Amino acid sequence: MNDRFELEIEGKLEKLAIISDFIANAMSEFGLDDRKIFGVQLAVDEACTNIIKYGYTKEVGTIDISCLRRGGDIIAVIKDEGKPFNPTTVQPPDLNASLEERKIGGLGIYFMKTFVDEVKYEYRDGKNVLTMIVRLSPK
Amino acid sequence: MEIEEKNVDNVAIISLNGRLDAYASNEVERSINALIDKGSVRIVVNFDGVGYISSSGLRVMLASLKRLKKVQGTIKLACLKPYVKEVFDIAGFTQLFEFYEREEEAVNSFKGWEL
Repeated sequence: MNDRFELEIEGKLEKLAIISDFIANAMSEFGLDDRKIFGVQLAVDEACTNIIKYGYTKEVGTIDISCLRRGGDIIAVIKDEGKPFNPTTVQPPDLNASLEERKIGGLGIYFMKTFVDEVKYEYRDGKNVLTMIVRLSPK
Repeated sequence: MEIEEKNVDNVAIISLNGRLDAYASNEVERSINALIDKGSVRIVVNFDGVGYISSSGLRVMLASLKRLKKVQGTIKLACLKPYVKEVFDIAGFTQLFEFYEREEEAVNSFKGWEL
C-alpha cells in the first residue's frame, strides 16, 4: 500500500477539481470513510482557493500538496510561494448573525478548522506551509 | 458545471449539475444575477446534481438571497445531498434559507405570494 501521495499543480481555480480528485484518491487509499474523505477534500479545497484568490494575485504560482500517513495520523501538507498568510489566526465568522448582519465570506477558513482535527501554519524558506492532520480513531 | 434554467408558475428554477467549488461558483453567480437582472424574484435552486460544495458556493447563495430580499424576493433550495446540506448546517445557513426535499415542494411554497 502506498504511504505517500504528491501533487504539484498550477494555482488556478479550474484546477480545484483535479486537487479534489487527488485528495479523494489518497484518502481512500489511506482507508478513510466517505464522510472523512469529503471533509479533507473540503479543507484542502478551501486552503487552495485562498492561495489562488489571495496568495497568487499578481501571477499564477504552483501549489504542492503531499499526503502521508504517520502512525494513526493522516497528514496533508500544502505549500505555496504566494503572499505570506496564516489562516490559523483568522477569527471565525458569527454563525448566528441575522441575514442583514451575516457577512459574505470568511467561511472557508472556518471549514478548514472544522473538517480536520488540526491545522498548523508556518512560513519556511519563502513558502507558506499549511499542515492538516486527521486522526484515525483507534480500531 | 452544467446549469439548466426553466420557469414553472412564475418561479425561476436553476438546476445545477457538477461540483460547486470556487471555479463553478463564478459561473453560477453569473446565471443567478442574470435572472435577477431580468426581474426574477422567486428563485429555486435544485441541488440534485451537486455532490460537492465549498464555501464559495455558499457565498453565492448568500449574496443572491441578500440581493433578492431587497426586492421582496427570495431564493429557496431543493434536493440537497446529505454532505452538501451538512455544509449549509455547519455554516449556520439553515436558519437563513428554506430547504425542500423536492423541487415541486419548493415551487409550490411560493403559491399565494403576491408579486
